[in-house]
Amino acid sequence: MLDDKKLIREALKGSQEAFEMIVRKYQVPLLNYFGRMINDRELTLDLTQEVFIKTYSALHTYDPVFKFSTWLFKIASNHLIDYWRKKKIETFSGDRPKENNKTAPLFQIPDGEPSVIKKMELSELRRRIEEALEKIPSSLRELFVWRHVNEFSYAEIAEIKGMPVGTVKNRVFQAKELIRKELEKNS
Amino acid sequence: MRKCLHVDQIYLYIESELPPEEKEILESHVSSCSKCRNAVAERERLHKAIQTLPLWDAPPGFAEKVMDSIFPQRVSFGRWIGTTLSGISIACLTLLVFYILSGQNFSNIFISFFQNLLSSMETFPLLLAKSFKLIFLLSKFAFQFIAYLVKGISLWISIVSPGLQIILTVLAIFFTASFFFALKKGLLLENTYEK
Repeated sequence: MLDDKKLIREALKGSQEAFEMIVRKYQVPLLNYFGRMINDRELTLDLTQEVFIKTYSALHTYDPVFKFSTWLFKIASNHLIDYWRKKKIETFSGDRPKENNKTAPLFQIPDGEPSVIKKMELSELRRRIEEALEKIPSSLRELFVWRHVNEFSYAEIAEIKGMPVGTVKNRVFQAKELIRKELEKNS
Repeated sequence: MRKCLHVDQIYLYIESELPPEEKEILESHVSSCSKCRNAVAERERLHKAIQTLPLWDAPPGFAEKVMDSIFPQRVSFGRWIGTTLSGISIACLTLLVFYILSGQNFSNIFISFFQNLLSSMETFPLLLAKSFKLIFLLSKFAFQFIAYLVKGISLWISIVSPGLQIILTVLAIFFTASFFFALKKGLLLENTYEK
């Protein structure tokens, strides 16, 4: 498969096939991003399609200095925020996770931490993780999805969100600890 | 004994993001601390489950649907011919069925069909001649219109000062270019946002 930047150059020259290759390459990652963020199949398909349309319209503004995947997901993230704003759903702030002190996980391991996860079957654990993922703040969920579903590096996520790498790492670890606490709660 | 681990150290270790010397220190501590050993094992299992979460699939034809929304398909010439011929065939079949149901026999049907065809072929050259005459009249009208336009411009040039002519010409070019640019952009947006 051709490099993204070559495909974009061809697409800007008018090659529909080149843009179709981009669509085929990124349809699953985008579907998984939206799917994990909103958990609604039809809406996920609509949002993914809209992002590709927006991407094509804005293709002439893409700066090849940056990775195309991070640029695409920046568009996706902003599109999701716009969608939530239109629906007047409480959206997340880009800088601060929406959590109160009660839910903020401790980063030191408490004494007598229950061993819940080791006892679960892997398939059951996956199912519970998916349920728990819907309950954590969307700002943390987004970083978690990019790291563990879309498999972006911490540096790439930091580029998408305009955050320091250290902050991204902390937020992803927070997300995982919140998921673990949800699993503890429901065991 | 070294202080117990922080959760972030454990996750960095599991994701192989710890520098080698820190990794060694962590492993040495874990070997002697059951609390941290359990904590690492818990989170390793969590990490394994997270890494194997099922992925959503794209439904069949999704990429094509996306492409159709961005690049609406133009009907090819071949398709036009095919559609036209299909339409003519259906029309002929309908007429045939009508004639049969009306009780006429086959030979009468064929005779009346060819009679009608011949009479339309007779009138076709006349129709063609009238069409050419119409085109000629329209062209004559268009040329007259252009001639009047040129006369009007010449009159205008003779009235208006050269400086003002230049200003008005530049403004006219600017507005025309803006109009076409906006129209093109509007059409492009229509094409790209149409679902």
